[in-house]
Amino acid sequence: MSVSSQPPRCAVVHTPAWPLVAAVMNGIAGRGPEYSPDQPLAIMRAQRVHCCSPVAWRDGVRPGMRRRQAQGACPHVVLVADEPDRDARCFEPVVRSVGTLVPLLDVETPGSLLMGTRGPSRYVGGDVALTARLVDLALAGVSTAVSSQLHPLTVLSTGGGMGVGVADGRLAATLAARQAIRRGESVVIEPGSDATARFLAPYPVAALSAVAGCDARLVDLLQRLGLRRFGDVAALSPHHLVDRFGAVGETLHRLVSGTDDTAPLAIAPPPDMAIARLFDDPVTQFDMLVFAAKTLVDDMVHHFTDRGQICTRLRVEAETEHGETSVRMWHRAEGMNESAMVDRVRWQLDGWINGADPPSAGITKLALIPIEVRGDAGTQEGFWGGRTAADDAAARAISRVMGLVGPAGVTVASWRGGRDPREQYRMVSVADIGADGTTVHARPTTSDAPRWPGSIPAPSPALLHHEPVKVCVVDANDRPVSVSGRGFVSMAPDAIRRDDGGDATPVVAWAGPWPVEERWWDDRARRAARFQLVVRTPDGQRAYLAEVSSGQWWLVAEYA
Amino acid sequence: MSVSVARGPLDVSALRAGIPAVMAHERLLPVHPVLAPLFGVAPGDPGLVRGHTVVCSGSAAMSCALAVMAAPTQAGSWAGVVGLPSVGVGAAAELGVVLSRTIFVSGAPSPSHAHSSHSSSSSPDMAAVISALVDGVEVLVLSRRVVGAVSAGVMRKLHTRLQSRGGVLVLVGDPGSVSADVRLNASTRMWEGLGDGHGHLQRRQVSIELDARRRGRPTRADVWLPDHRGGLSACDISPSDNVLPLRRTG
Repeated sequence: MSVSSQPPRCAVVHTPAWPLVAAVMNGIAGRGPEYSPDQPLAIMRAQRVHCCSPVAWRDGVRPGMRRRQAQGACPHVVLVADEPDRDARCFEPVVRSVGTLVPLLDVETPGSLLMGTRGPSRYVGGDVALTARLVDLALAGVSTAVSSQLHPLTVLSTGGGMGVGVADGRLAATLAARQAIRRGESVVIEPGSDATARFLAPYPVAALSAVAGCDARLVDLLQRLGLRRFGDVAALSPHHLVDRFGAVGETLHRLVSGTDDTAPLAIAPPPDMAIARLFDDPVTQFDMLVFAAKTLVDDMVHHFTDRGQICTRLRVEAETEHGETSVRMWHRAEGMNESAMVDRVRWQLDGWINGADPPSAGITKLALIPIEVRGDAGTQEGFWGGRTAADDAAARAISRVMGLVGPAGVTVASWRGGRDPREQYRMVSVADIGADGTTVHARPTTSDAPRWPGSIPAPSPALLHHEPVKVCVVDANDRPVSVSGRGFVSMAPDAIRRDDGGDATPVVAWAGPWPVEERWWDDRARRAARFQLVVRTPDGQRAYLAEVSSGQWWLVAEYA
Repeated sequence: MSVSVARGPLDVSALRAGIPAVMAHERLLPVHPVLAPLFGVAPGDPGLVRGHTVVCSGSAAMSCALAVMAAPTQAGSWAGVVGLPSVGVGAAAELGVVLSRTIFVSGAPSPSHAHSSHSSSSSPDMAAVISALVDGVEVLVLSRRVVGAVSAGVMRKLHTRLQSRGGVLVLVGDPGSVSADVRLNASTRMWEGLGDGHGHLQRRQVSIELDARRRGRPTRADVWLPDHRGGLSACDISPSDNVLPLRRTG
């Protein structure tokens, strides 16, 4: 990942209060043809007004009001219960209509569509022409769903209108679409990071939580720090943001400076592509199941290849006569063809049927549900250092083992950083990242990266006690060694004794205490003093990393 | 290595004997240059015979196993670590193990479970995991507990499979029952760097003894494992030039 990479150019079609439009389309509001645009409308969610039409707003209804307050402000307001399924269902015609021009769509929420513009813009002749086509298509989609007496624009105006914006990156495009609604015409921001940054700079940071899904507490903190606009945050160095906010800081900087390179490629596959096979007679033979899976897979893969798509994430579900189920998600970054899909079904069923906890009856249902589909742009093999035969063999073995022990049981280590050796590496499930021998973040080598402040210098311990061993450390007079709050050791450690009794082991060398006080700001707070101890054992010496916390000594790692 | 087109009498006899002609470097996996003299090869040459079982024991067994793993993963092999949730990943990285080609598999049967069910329900599971890994990785690191949970017959079968796939099995801790081709006993001599309330652990002098089957007397070498950067380096200097003075160790 490189920070300076060019964000993909995106178009967004946006309606701010889509639930209202959906309510009108469904005929709930004004009973269909009798609906009039002068009718004030509001959507109630959790006993509060979630959004309201411009007419209702003029009469004094505001989001967040209770039912009585809203009716008090505007007695003839029609209050409609919130129903997310209805919103999604009513948005479907718009998605289909726009989908005739742009097949790769990302439905962010009902009422908001995101798409990459590279192909479509070239096809229709530029971004401006594209916005015009998108408006036409979206209106056509709305008009197929409402009765002919109503103009689609009237219906859309209930939801605050519709805007189309084109800009670099998801965030800028969404903000451009919002601006388009206010202006009443589509907004196209010039390509290039300078133009994008200029466009973003005057927006208040509150837009981050409303549009980009940032934590509201983060936005609040930014405002209290005096960083009120995107431009203020973008002016800071990304290093400072990472220092203060961690990984979020980097994301934040990318968002506000208009270099967010999240590609809007993935689309939700059509729901009718979830295919299932019900067996009248429960199937107990493994081979028959695999054969059934093969016929299912052939249909699905044909469907995708006809549209130039490939499935990257697949859910496989199997159910027995007794209601036992096996559900597992499979991911393959380069996409799955027929044999790859059948393999995964076979691995899952094999691990289940021949595993430690086999089902008690025959299988009655087998379902394959594509979860993530992307355009099949082919995969480009690297010229040097590409995948080797060993990598392919390992990938097959990994998938097989995942079928046996579950995706969480197969992990690779990824550098995370930290003061404690136990938290410097994070074990990431291979299912989440797809192991291809390159994706793991290795620890930066000592030459190009500074050491984590407060960490214990190399060498690192070779055995980590994830459940620390309770010990008693005593001084020469057999009194427990304690560490004061200011980090003073009462006496030099002389011997350690395991909690389960046994003889004391003499300490031959020690160093410490190295105090550590971490995360005092939340409930993961940890305060401890660390020591290194070398003890003499019958077979030579052993070295430990010990920790004192609240007067109790623990061995947390061994230099084995 | 196209054997079938060769017409010399020597090749024909080799064919008749059914021995495939294999180049030396295809039969061997690389070893760390510091460990190479122990294996009887020149530094930089491969020395780990494919299909062999390497048992690492002694107080520095874990570090020793990681050092054996390091060179093959650097050369592009994949490694699988089964049933060792406590392995220090930081130490592995410092010893040169390529983490992006190292797979950690948990889900080893708990000791109580293994004892109570007497290797009936959990062991086939573990055996299946190991045999699946044998197909894909060239270095398979197992803990003594995992080996203990798999019956001897299954272990022999796995060993045969490992030999046909050309992998190397590394066992951490001596399981006793397994017939090892190479035994590495790594015992700690002394730690350096830590004083009486000052300093920090810097390096450890370890004496590694290699006892290979069908090889004469054991070979022995003193190494720094880990050295002051966490790696493995030869220990050909006298112990007198310590980094920091250490108290008498008795």
